[in-house]
Amino acid sequence: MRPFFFFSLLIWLFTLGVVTHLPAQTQIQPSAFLTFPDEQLRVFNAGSDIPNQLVTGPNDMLIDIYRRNFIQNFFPFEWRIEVSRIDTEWHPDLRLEVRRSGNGQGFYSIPTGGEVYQTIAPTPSLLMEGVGYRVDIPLQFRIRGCSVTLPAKTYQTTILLTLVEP
Amino acid sequence: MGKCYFLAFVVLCVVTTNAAGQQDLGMEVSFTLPETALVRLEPNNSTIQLALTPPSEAGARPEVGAEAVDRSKWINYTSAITEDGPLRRISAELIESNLPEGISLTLEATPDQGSGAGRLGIPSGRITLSESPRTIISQIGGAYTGEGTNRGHQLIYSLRVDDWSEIPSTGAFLARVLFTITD
Repeated sequence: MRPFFFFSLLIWLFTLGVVTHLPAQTQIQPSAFLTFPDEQLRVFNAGSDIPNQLVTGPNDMLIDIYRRNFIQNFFPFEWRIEVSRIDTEWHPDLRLEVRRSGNGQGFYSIPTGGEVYQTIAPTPSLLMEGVGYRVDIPLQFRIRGCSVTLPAKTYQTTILLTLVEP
Repeated sequence: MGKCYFLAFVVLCVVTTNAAGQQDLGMEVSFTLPETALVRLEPNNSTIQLALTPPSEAGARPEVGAEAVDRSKWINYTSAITEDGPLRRISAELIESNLPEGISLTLEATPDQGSGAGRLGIPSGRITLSESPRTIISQIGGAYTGEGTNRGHQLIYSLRVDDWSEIPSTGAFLARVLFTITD
């Protein structure tokens, strides 16, 4: 009986270990496309400029951080999010910024960092860090420097969120 | 038994080992700055009054005095152009006029007053208004003048007498001016 028990225990622990030997995952809701309302890009009166900044809603973009093995989400794991951008068609006068506009929900302490808007540069910088399962962390984005003095065209860039487990 | 405990210990080490890793997630950002061309008169497009000064002595010629000049209007504009797009201009034309022969209405735009930014336009100097569009400001790129009076370009309207013999002794006349911003 005892060998059977230990053999079963080993099989169970091995399976658990294999499955949980996986890094944390992150995903974005509702989509991976950032858009701004048209009225933020419109000039209403002759003589005036475009509003200098475009801003998304405080809850338009949510990110989740979790482990694929549901059981493992009950255990703490350290993580941090770094942010950078890769330009396709950009202008040096434009500044893309991000901040964490809420705490989300999770089992452990709230994330730290990212409460104040910070510029998203081509090189990675720390946005926030935390412990354990955390979902619905809201991010708010802002673009400053918009003006009619810039060429009229479509501007594009890709924001890269990197989840790092130390 | 000892082997089982050893194997259990090894597996427990595997279970509690955190997998260090890194994952990238991309988010596309896209927005379009639209082409824009807006022009407006300030403080409003109300009627202005110009008059020839009547002579003070019999036999004297009427004068083109201060009442024949108006500086109350300003022109504001906003322009957004593409990178390779043509520069813009503002033209003026008479669309309704019963000015008598011998009198012309001239218009001149002053240089921009400096409340805006970008590639602001260059005045063309004094022009004589007619039913054909005449450029009063040219070389406008991506720019805005600011809103209101004392912003943008001041407009100077004036009467010019071309032939005194054609001017009727009395009368009131109307001229309506249309401003257009174009490529």
